[in-house]
Amino acid sequence: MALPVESVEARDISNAVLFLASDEARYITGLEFTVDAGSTIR
Amino acid sequence: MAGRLEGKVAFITGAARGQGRSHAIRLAQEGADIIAVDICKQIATVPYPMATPEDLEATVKAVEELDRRIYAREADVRDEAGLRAAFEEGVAELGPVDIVLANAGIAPMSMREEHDAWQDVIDVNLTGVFNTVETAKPSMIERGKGGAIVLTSSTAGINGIGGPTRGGLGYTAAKHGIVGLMRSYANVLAPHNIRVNSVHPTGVNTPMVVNDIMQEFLQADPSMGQAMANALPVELIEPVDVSNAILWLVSEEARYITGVTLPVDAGYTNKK
Repeated sequence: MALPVESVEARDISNAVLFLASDEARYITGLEFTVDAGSTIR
Repeated sequence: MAGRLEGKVAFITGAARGQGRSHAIRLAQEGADIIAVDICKQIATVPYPMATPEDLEATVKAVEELDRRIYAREADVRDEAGLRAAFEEGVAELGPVDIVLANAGIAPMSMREEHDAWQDVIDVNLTGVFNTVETAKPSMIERGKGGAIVLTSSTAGINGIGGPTRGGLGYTAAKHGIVGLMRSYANVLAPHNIRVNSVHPTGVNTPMVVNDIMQEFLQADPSMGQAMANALPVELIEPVDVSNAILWLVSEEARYITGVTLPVDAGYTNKK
């Protein structure tokens, strides 16, 4: 993890899923979305 | 219901109109106060009319109508000292900044090849983004309360689009460069709990895209028109679609999301 945290919580995934499923993301499609506290880019 | 950004202060560049104004309004709707800057002047190689002081004033009015505070000043993201002065005055007025939106950008594409278009677009769209983060970073680190930064890139920051002109090549190079900045800043600032992400909009219904010169440019090369087509059946997305994505990224709901390139592109990138 890049952010100072050991693991993310289940609700952090839920929050991301909620956003992607909501109308606020109506034109967001076809992407991979990491909820990883920055571990991918390290 | 309390807003999602109650008590936060956001620093937004390019806030006079278009996406920047939309971000200011959307974040203010969720309780944020706004430090807004915009050049409010023409740059010679930009073929469409840029924002005016009246545009910035309209942003001020829109935020004040939401009963949020806004400090607005004309500043050029290419001018580090001027940008810092505007930032510091805004902080003195509204308090320390939690959120930074490096939104200011130009699209100097036209059928008339302008020699200086390359340098101008690199200066505004890449160096200007760097200057924006550098301006806000020290106080965010020193304060020690974390924060969220969103850099506005483009689908041209992921794909080789933008066309063959000096301005178009510069645009694509600058928007790709933003991704490198975003990833480095995400790593450098993570220990301070400051998250950094980028958004990558497809064509948005703003004066930068919806103007005669851009339409002429797109129609001159049929492959460009085809290349601009989204996967979802929508020609242009609205500024608020980008604002909503940014709002989510800077909110507590995205507390562990950093280093992400978020396309807001109606499936454009995936289609390639």
